[in-house]
Amino acid sequence: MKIAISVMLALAAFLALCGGGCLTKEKVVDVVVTGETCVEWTEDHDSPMYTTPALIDYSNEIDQILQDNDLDRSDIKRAVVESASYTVTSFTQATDWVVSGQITVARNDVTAGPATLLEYTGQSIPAALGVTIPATLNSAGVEILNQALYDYIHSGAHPVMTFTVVSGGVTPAPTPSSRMIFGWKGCIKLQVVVEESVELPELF
Amino acid sequence: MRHPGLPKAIAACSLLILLWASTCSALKIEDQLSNYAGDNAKGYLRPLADAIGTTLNSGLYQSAYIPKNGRYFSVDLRVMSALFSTDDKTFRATTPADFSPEQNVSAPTVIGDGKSVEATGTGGTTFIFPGGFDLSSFSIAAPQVRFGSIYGTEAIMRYFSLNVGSSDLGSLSLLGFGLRHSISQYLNEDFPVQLAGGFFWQTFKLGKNKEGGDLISANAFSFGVQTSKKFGKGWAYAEPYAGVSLDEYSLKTKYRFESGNNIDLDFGSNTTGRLTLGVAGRLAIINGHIEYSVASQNSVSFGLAFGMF
Repeated sequence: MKIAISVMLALAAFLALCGGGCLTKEKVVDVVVTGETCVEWTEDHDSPMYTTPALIDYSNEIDQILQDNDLDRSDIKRAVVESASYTVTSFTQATDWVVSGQITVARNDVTAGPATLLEYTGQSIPAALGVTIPATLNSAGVEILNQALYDYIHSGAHPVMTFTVVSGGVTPAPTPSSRMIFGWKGCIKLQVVVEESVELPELF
Repeated sequence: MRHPGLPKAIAACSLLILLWASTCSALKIEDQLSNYAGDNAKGYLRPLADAIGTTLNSGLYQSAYIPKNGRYFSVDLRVMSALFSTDDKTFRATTPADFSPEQNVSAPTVIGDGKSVEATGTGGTTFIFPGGFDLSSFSIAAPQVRFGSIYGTEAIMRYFSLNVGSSDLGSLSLLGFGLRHSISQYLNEDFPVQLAGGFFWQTFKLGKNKEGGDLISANAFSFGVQTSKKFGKGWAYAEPYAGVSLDEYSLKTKYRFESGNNIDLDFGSNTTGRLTLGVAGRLAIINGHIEYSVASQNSVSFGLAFGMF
């Protein structure tokens, strides 16, 4: 039986030495991780026409997505905009405000935009409280975001974005005696592709 | 006769092989799965689910001979490999509900091409289906103990448990038990071949999800009949064998979807018939075998056995 043990240990040693190339093969895999960046606005208006800007450091947002997935900027192969949504986060009034308008996006670190990112029409504020509503994105605004992602990955850029709510009208119209007050946020879902090499056993 | 050093040697070899299997199977799978839910997740993972069931139900025997009485003990190291077909490489994936317009795309499965596939939506948006691990086969190894015989019945056990405490390597455990009974003992001594029948049950767990639970858990059951005929005797012989069986396996996976919600995926119970053809041989103290099985997914198994036969 000592011979049997010797054979087994020899096999183990062979496999250990051989593991780097005999039975394993290198595989390159596109790993995809999904993250979300959000921007918040607080609306407090006595007129139906208003603009509300919000600044966001986009590179910090992307860095957080990478950190959550144990990735580094240098690992990224590609990043894209997948979808967007918005939701009302705070509202305590009795009035059923119905709003229409658009959200634009512009870059502060380079000259780009503003361009329409999404539009909303006839949106009831109380109906959107705590509800995630998918948004149809506009190609001009998406292009600015995709270019910011590209510059972040390939040029080491530090994109800073301004997302601006541009009101197209409110029903009923707010007045100084009846102000419209609510908080909301818009979120953009991103996908990041990372190319990873792994050694995998593949006998056949 | 007891050989205290042998179990450690068996464990050392098995540890190496099962570490590879653990790394192969658990590493990054949950990251890729997090992009999928529902039918997409099942489609992505289906080839691996089938492969786990196929390999578990492989390499269960290498001879139909079971003595009516007498003591014997054998420690086997078996490698079981499921072979993937071209159809296993892709599945029909659907873009998620928050992506517009809805599209169906031929996307890589977990064993498919490593390159991701993209779908273009409205407003210049893109949805990316993750790549696979580009595998032609999936293999696991298992130590197996056989002992008998009581009234022509032998017992078979498989057991291994490994937890290295690393999120990259994950964990792996295998437990199996079965019985085989000699049919030949009821037949005339001149019957040209040996016949036996039996069953085998196993449970298998692989990897840890982000909550610390099992990423993949599977159960397998097989019962069937075997036949073999020995050529030669004593310390040198060859023994071709064959068997037919009915195999059943089920698999569940639990992982975290990209939204943060936990997903429980149940692949249900799958049943397949299996035809196995193999040959075992003995030279001095080394007993080896190799076999090929035809079932819903074909497989190859080979191994070495050490002990008193």
